[in-house]
Amino acid sequence: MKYLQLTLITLLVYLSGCAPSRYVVPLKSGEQAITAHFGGPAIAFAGTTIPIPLTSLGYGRGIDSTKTVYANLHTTALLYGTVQADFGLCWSLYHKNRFGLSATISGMFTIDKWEKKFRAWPMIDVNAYRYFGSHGNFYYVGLDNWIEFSKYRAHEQLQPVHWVMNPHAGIEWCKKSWKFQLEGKWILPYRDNRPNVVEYIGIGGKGAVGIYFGVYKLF
Amino acid sequence: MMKNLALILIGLALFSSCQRLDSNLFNTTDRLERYELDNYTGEQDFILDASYAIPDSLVHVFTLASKGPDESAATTIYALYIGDINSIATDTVIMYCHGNKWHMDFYWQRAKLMAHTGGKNHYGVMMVDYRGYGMSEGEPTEDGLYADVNAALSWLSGQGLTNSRLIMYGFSMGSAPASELMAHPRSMTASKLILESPFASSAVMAADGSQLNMPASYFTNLKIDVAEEIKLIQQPFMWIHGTNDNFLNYRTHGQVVYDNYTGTYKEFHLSQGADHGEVPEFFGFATYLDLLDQFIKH
Repeated sequence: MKYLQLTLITLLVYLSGCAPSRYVVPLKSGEQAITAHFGGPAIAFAGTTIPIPLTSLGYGRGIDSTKTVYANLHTTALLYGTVQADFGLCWSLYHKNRFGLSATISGMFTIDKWEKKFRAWPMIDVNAYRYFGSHGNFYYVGLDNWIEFSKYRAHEQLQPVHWVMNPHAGIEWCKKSWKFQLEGKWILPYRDNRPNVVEYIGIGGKGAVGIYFGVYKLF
Repeated sequence: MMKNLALILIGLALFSSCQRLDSNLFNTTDRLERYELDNYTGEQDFILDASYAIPDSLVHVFTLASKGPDESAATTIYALYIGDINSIATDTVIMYCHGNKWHMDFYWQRAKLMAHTGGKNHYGVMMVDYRGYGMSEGEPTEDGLYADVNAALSWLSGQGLTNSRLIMYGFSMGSAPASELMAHPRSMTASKLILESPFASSAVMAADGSQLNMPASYFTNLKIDVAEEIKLIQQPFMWIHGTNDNFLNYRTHGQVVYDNYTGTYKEFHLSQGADHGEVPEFFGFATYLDLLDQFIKH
């Protein structure tokens, strides 16, 4: 990095790239899951490219065969004194044969222990998925959308972005009571990633590419 | 399992750490054993030709004792003065607050260039390595930045410099101590302020980085806020910035600082196409020096 050794600032900035899709396919009715997610936007660091090691732990529960509610606590943020949690509802919009559509409405809530500044962002995710093989494996593509309601940002400057849209694609493998997830996301693909204090790795100078891993223990 | 998960989450919340990213904001290197100045071969923004050479007799490297208002003991920092120390009582001096990167060797060419404002060694130039930078002892902190620049001002005052002949210049992160010590003077009050590629605030950095209205307090306790402190400064102010600054966006950082200034006189000059460290070079050294000189004499 150029003038600031912002090795860790990136843990918390580009907040909209802090996690992958939580649930693409709803859990079965009554099924529960404990989840762990790891990963984040890719940055240039010490001459190489690494995903920012953002982590979160969560819990989900299928309230019927088409709806799952969940909550996640962002553990990396917590290490730095910021309580960040997201809560959501995923439901199946369409499912036929091996193809399906789902949507998730959720909210991201953050507050820091230092100045007690609170922020909340509603989010809407849509995903299309297709099963492959015979073990419930599937791949998916989708969009996650963040809404920023603030009219102003620091120093009474107009907040320039109110809708943050991130396309993503991923794959989930199922093995007995475990699921494993790999997702790639292109965060803010329509925004130049420079100037910025952080050297994000984007595509064609746009946005940042995020890489995420997830583990689900079903019970 | 649910009980265990709940216990884990509660435990994590209770042990929410006091870690902060503040120390990671300071871009220091391993402590230097000596200053190389013209013999320094590491990365630099630009290297001046021989016509900009400064006689050895006018280059002074020495130590200062820096002590902040809340500190019980002083920290030894290194300072550099370009000019005749014996004529500080009558000279005009530019206090150059360098940026966040590394040490005075990196900024030597810039200081040397500045010593040609209005002609070779027409003005004195003072620079310090903040604590934790270069050969200076201690660890960098925000309060330390202010204390260290104030130590330099105190030394200049002791040499006979008066407020009317002191020009404050802040580059990048150096805009923080430059603005702080003009908004809240300690040893001296500079007569004019020049900010090159200033850092508006931690809040702007967080907002630029996230694209969301995210508070800086989510990752740092640093209170650097040039965009607010500039409102307290009445002395004439000049802002210069590169239009292609890929580090500190001239619109979200520099422009906000400039717009917030409500003092007696201000002017700005954009260096077309210049990146963060390229402003003097893209202006052209002669033009850059003329801009400084005209503002100082304004």
